[in-house]
This record gives sequence, structure tokens and C-alpha cells, in this order.
Amino acid sequence: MPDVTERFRAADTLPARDLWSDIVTREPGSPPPAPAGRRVAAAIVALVVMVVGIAIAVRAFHASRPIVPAGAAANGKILVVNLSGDSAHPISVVNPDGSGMRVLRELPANASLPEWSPEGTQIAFAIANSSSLPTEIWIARADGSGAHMVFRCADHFSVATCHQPFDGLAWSPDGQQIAFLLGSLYVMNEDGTSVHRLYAPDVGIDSAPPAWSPDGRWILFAMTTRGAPGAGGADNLYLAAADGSGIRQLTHCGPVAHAKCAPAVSTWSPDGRSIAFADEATGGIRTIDVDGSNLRTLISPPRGMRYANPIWSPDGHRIVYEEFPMQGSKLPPIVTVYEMQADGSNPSSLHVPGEPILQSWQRLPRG
Amino acid sequence: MSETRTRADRRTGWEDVYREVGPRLQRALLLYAGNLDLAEDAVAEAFAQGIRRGDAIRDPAAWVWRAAFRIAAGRLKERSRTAGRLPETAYEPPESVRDLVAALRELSPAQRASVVLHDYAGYPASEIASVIGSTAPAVFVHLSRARKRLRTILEDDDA
Repeated sequence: MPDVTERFRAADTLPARDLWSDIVTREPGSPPPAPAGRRVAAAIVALVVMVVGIAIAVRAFHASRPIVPAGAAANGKILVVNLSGDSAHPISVVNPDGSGMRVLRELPANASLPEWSPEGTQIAFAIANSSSLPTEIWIARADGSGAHMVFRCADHFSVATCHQPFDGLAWSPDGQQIAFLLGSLYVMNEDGTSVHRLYAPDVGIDSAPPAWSPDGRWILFAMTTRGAPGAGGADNLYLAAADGSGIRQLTHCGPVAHAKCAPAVSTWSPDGRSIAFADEATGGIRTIDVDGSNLRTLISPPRGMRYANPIWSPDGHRIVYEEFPMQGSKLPPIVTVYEMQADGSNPSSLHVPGEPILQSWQRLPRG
Repeated sequence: MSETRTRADRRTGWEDVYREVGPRLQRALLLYAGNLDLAEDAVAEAFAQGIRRGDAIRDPAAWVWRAAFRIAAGRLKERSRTAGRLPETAYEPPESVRDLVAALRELSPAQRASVVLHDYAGYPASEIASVIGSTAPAVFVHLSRARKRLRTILEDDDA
């Protein structure tokens, strides 16, 4: 059966009658109303941020190149994609308190889905190709300089594969490999060599970036699975063994129609024991232990609102996340960044300017 | 060259834009609205408005995509107000996309716009947000839900 992406590509066979003669003789009516409260974006730059996208922070590590041992890291800057600023250069860094936002203008235009390296000295990111699909992976220094491409989809895969949505990347904790989602879960060396598929889903991997466990053994991802006919599928988190030996289902949320959870973007605790995730079923931030037990809600949103894109701080003490109104709400469409203690207590808003989407939290050596 | 371009000049520039983006826009609107007449009307109206506004529009291609989707959304809203749901259409899509068009009708307007603009037209979330009057994070949620729903519907259809 063709997947959804292939079905959309088939839409190019739909008829498109030449309307130009109608257009030039048409007397236009009144302009359609712009949605209330919405800033009109400046010029379209065709290839900016595409995906769901939030590359997840939490880079604890050990293994062959132990740069900052798990639990011993300090909190550096947070990478965000700011959609209200320079649309060609949306990637910025901010301090953990929301101050000091700085656009990384040295990154190539249309860079998206940035992710700190485990050492916090480099940034990996995706970049769009001419059909607006981010099918290249690049690496730059922490200040955005020295950007160079390490992976180009067309060099490795068919056009059909390269037209799959690119849903994010994750750096291994030893900094030597990068995992990415392109319809399937792939892993390659950080220099772009040895690209190989780790897991091919039955139906489809969700549009949430993967996250590599602090011990390097697992890659976390979200997936919708096929349900019984008429029953609908189910959304769950899965752990793929980094050595390719298989996958393990982490959550058991049940069929979509009656789901008790619907995990989206997720983030490891630096000690590797827990995972926090944005729950699309409740709109809250929830956690689950890495053995699949102890599913609990850290914080639930107020009525009409939703939380998304949690990132666990490298020191393990805090979680940052976003709040925004649900579609159809009368509330203004504004994104607010919050932080809370890792147990869900003491939530407070941060004054991050623009319309930021949280991406990745830099790990710095403690002391 | 004169600062003030003639209406014919403007039309010439807009025709180039139409030739470049018009067919894809029409197809995207057909997926979104599931209605051929409505899709063509929204495209024609958006371009007609654009030509009238002329040089006030800096990026005609971007403007016309936003305008056409808003026009289509408005038309759909009017029709669903009277019909009670997404209006039925006599249009019979080609077999290659018949299931997809039918499945798209089961999504919410925001989900439908998000997935069509993203997965078919290749628009980034920030632009989709500006089209549907939402935020980029919300677009990601719509996108995620739309894809899941489509997979579920299309899976069931194939079962």
C-alpha cells in the first residue's frame, strides 16, 4: 500500500485547468479577513523550518569518548527556532533564563532542527533542498561558523525516500554517530559515512525527533502502529537498540480513539532513568520510567492550552517547555516558554522573545 | 524605468507567478477543499485581488498562497454553515488520489490545511501558521495528528 507521502505525490496528477483568462477578467471581491491576532509573516522563504520539530536536548554520555559524564554537566545555552525573526535564519541561542537571544546568522539559510553535540561545542542541523525537504545534514561550530555538509540524501537514497518527511536528528552521547528519521530510523557516523537503517516501521514514524539515551544503548522515537481494522492505530514511544538488535515498546497508550496517552516530542533525563514527553492526548507534560513503569503527569495545561517540546536540563534539575493555545481557542496565538522543576513543581514563564520553538540544551562541563 | 508600472505590466508579472505556482496551488486547494469549483474560485479570486493590489505586495507567490487558502477556508465555512459539514462535491478525483481526498475530508480544517501545505506543498510550519492563523508548535500538533488520522483511515480502507 502506498504510504501517505506517496499518496500526496500522486496528487500532482490532479487536474489544474488554466485559469489565467478567468483571472484577468475577474473583478475581485472583498479581501478575505486575516486571522485575528496573527502577525503576518514577512516574505516567504520557501525552505525554512519544516518539521515537527524539536531536536531534543539531554545529552548525557559515556562510552568511548566520555566528554561530560552523565549527571555532571552544567546548563549551557538553549537552541531555539524563532519563527518571528529573520525567516531565513530562524536558529538562535538563548540563555536558560530566556535572556540574550542571538541569531546564528553564520548558519546557512534555511537551517532547521538544530541539535547540540554532546560536548556542546558543535551544532548538527538539517537543511532544506530545492523541494523544501530537509534532506541534508550539516555540522557547524557552536557560534554557527564553519558549517559543512556531512550527509546528502540524494547520495544515499532514492527520490522516494528523500521525499519522506525529515523528522529530526540526535547525536550519540559519545559524539561519534548521528541518528535521524527519514521515514525510517537511520544511523550514520558523524562524518556522514556508514549510513545504515536501524529500523523500518510498518506504518510510519511520527514527526518527533529521535533522542539517544545517555548510556548510548537506546534511541527513543515515537511511532503510530497499525491497529485492528476499524479500531485505529496507536501512538507510542519505542526504544530501538543502538546496536540494531531490535526495538522495545515503552508506552502502551491504547488505540487512538481511547488513548490514555499520545506521546510526541520526548526527552531523556540526564541520568537515563526517565523520559519526559509531550502528551497530545492530554496536552500535558508526562514522564515514564525507562522500564515502561510509572507513567505520571508532571503538569497539565489550563483549559484551551497545550504544552509541548519539553527539554530536560543537562544538570537534571529543570525542564523547559512551551505553552500555546489549542486551535479554535479564543486566546491569542502566542507561544510562551516555561520552566519547572523536574518533579513538575514551581512552573514559571520565561521571557523569551519572538515565537520560539525549543530545540536542544547545551551541555557544559561542570566547574 | 517609471516607478509606476502599468496594469498590463503588473498582469504580466502576475502571469509569471501564476504559471509558476498556480497549478500546484490549485491542486493543494483541491486536496484541502475536496471541491474543484471552490478550489478554482479561490485561486482566481486570490490572483485577481493580488493584481488589484499590485506593487503593494512584495512577495506575490507567498501572498497568493495565503490569500487563496484563506478564501477557500472562508468559502468552506460558509458552505458548511448551510450544509452542516464539509460540502459534498460532484467532483470525482482520479483513482490515484481518490482515497486520499476522501480521507482528508475526515480531518479538521486546521489539520487538513497543515498536512496539505506541509506534505504536499512543502511549506514550513511558520508559513502554515500564518495561513491558518495559528502558531508553529500548534501546526506541528495538527500535522502529527493529521498524519496519524490519515494513516488510520487509509489503513482501514485497505483492510
